[in-house]
Amino acid sequence: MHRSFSERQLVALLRQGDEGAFRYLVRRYQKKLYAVAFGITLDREESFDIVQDVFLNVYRKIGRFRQQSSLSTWLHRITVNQCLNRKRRWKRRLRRQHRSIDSPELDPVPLAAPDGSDPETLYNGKLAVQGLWRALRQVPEQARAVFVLKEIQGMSYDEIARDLHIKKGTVSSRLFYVRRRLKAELQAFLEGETGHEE
Amino acid sequence: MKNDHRRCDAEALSRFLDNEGGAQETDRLRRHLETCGACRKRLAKQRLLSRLARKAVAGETARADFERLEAAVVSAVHRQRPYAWQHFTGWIPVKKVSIPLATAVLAGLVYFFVAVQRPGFRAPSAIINSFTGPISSVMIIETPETRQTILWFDENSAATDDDKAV
Ligand SMILES: [Zn+2]
Repeated sequence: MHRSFSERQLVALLRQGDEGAFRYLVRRYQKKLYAVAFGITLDREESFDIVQDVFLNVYRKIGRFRQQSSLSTWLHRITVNQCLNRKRRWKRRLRRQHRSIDSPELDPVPLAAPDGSDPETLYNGKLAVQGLWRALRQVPEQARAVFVLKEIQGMSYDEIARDLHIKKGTVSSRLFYVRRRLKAELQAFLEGETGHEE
Repeated sequence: MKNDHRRCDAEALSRFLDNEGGAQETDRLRRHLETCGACRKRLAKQRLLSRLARKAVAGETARADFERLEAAVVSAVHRQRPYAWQHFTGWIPVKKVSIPLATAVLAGLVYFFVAVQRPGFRAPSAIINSFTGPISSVMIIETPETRQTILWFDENSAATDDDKAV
């Protein structure tokens, strides 16, 4: 199953309903799409469902893909739309409420630390990630989407503006807003890491 | 003045970080950063935040079960496409082949029914008579072996009571 395709070949095979090509597509993009979905929803199961829906949509609608943008761009665009337009099902809401009693935050993933780093740094990293999720949760989803597309996807302001149907100036102000919120929430961590200059 | 490089401008700094400020603003900020320690520190913090966000999301992604995701996606696709059809399309992957083949199969079936099955084929050979009254219609059809009478009741007059009941 270690096939490799050019994008054009891949699209052609997907249009024929080739399962191998479809699996290849899933393997190639699922991590990236999940990262975007998680950054926006901050919910593991929901991100999982969204990425699954994205691939199903692609499977159904590949015939409509005109190849004016790259497959990757198209996939990411569908993912962001799905994140922002999704209707939260009551089941998901229930699950979220249930978890909010058990553990108010996502249990943070320890940051990948270089070998030999001291436990204190690891602990601080864990706290920082916790603080990051907390701060991002307080930010409207639309603003979070801008932040994710910039920081995780590395997209330009123009690209973000086009994908989210907002003005370039709005991209700038929303990014600034999110960063300010994060900075306020993570003040202690940032002070510790950047040291005291002047 | 817009070009005042002594003024701290946090939003412009955020654009500077992303290399999105444009030539004039970038130049102004460069000059500002040479003299403003507070903004240099702000910039360092923003860079750290970007790194933290990327690492945190990467950490989340690393723990997700993508084998489960792939299996879920593939099985959902299978549910959309019946198994037999999948094998059929797998066997004949190109429309160039499948359309003429389907046509040939269809032509074969038509020939089979018309030429081979003809003696036993019980299509009506004649409609002998038909009447339509206020309550029902009657049609008498003849096939090679039998003569059949078909009665239709006028459902509109029968259904009116049901409609009222609902
Ligand atoms: Zn300054």
